Amino acid sequence: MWKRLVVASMCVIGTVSVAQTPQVEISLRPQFELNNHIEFGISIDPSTVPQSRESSQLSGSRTALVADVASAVETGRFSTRLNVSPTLENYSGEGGFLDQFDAQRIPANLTLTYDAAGSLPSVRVNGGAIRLERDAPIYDVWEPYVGIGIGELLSYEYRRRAFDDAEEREDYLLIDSTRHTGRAAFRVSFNDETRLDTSAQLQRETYARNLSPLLYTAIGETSDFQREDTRRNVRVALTRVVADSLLAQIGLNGLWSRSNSRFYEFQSTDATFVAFWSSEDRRWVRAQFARGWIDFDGRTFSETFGGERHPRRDRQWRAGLSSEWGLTGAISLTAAFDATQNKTNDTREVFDFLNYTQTITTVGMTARY
Amino acid sequence: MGELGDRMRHWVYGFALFGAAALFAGCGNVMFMTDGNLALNFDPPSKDAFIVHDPTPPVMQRFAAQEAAATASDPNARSGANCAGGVCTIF
Repeated sequence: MWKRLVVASMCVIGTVSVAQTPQVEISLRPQFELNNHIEFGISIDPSTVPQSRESSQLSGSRTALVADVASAVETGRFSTRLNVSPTLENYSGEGGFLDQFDAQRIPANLTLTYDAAGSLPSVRVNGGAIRLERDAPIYDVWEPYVGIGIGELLSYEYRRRAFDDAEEREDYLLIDSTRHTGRAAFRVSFNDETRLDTSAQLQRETYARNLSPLLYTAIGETSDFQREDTRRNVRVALTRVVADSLLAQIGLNGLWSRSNSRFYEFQSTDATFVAFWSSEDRRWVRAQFARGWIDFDGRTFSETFGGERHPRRDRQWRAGLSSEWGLTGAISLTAAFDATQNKTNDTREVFDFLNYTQTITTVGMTARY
Repeated sequence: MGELGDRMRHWVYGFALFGAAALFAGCGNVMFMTDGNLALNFDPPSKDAFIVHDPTPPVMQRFAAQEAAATASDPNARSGANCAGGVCTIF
């Protein structure tokens, strides 16, 4: 299947290149990652996964190879860009339990842009699909999407998730869905070095009906319930160039999720600080700190039987350091370290697994042609 | 943190009013930048053009490119599960 896809990609690129010589960029990115808290939906729930009963944190490594193939052609005011990035992932750890998550992932995207050249902003139409296959077939999914945008001002995207075996299986999270997303953005530019970026996003997602019966009971709904979520996201980021090679950014991000089931309603707020240093292309270092607040409106608990009920609140601290360092014109090294500490106010022992500290360490290389 | 969310919404409304006021006061120009963003520009390179080249410092251009690449490789997107706002667990 891999060979057929690569050949198909080359054929498309070759066809596009008939009209004009395309610019082709190819890069290979091998990566190695250590993660002490691997999540795949239910994989960390001690009541459903035997491996989690000894330790609620699944630790392991992920080895990946990503091949990025991009081709761009310009014809008058139109430009076409095709991106295909086949990826192989291999998981190891937990006595072989993580082998089921070994994956082949193929995202493909085609973007057509019309540039009115000085009189109007560019108009962009794009479409594509992501195919994911894991050793455990319950994760196999197609994700096609189409979108349209006017510069960065306005955009709309339709996206569908379709799991291969949705009609045969009930699940907690691996559920077919249809998503509509609209986004608007605006910038305030104080001078060349200081800008304020704002964006607002409205998303509507409708899910299929193959939820697990346990979940219907937990959320108090009947088996014909169809979940529908509406999410509003607002982001504000102030960016300032501090020195020739140094930049700082502070940001606030708010997400309000509303649903036809109170169980799925929550508010998520993040405050972030980023410092970015870069003296030349492909040589940069980025440090990021964030504080997160997640409030679940519809999930309450009581510490004693029949006692006062409290809404669940999760709090997160996050820190990260990442870098790319170019060795030659074609080769660069990459490294990243991310740490997340999550705490919940739910004191019930069965939910203690929500108190965790996750660290992800990644090293890799990029080779460009 | 509903209060924080409400406060944030008020800040956003405040910025919007500030921008509108600045525009009417003639302190800034609204224009499309060549990177596709619509901007209220208090120090525009040209006051007459509708689309202008944004003289962004190189470090800011490299920052934008790195952010775009990071978004494309979001680990939550790799999992294949339906996640909303990073909240992937059902509990």
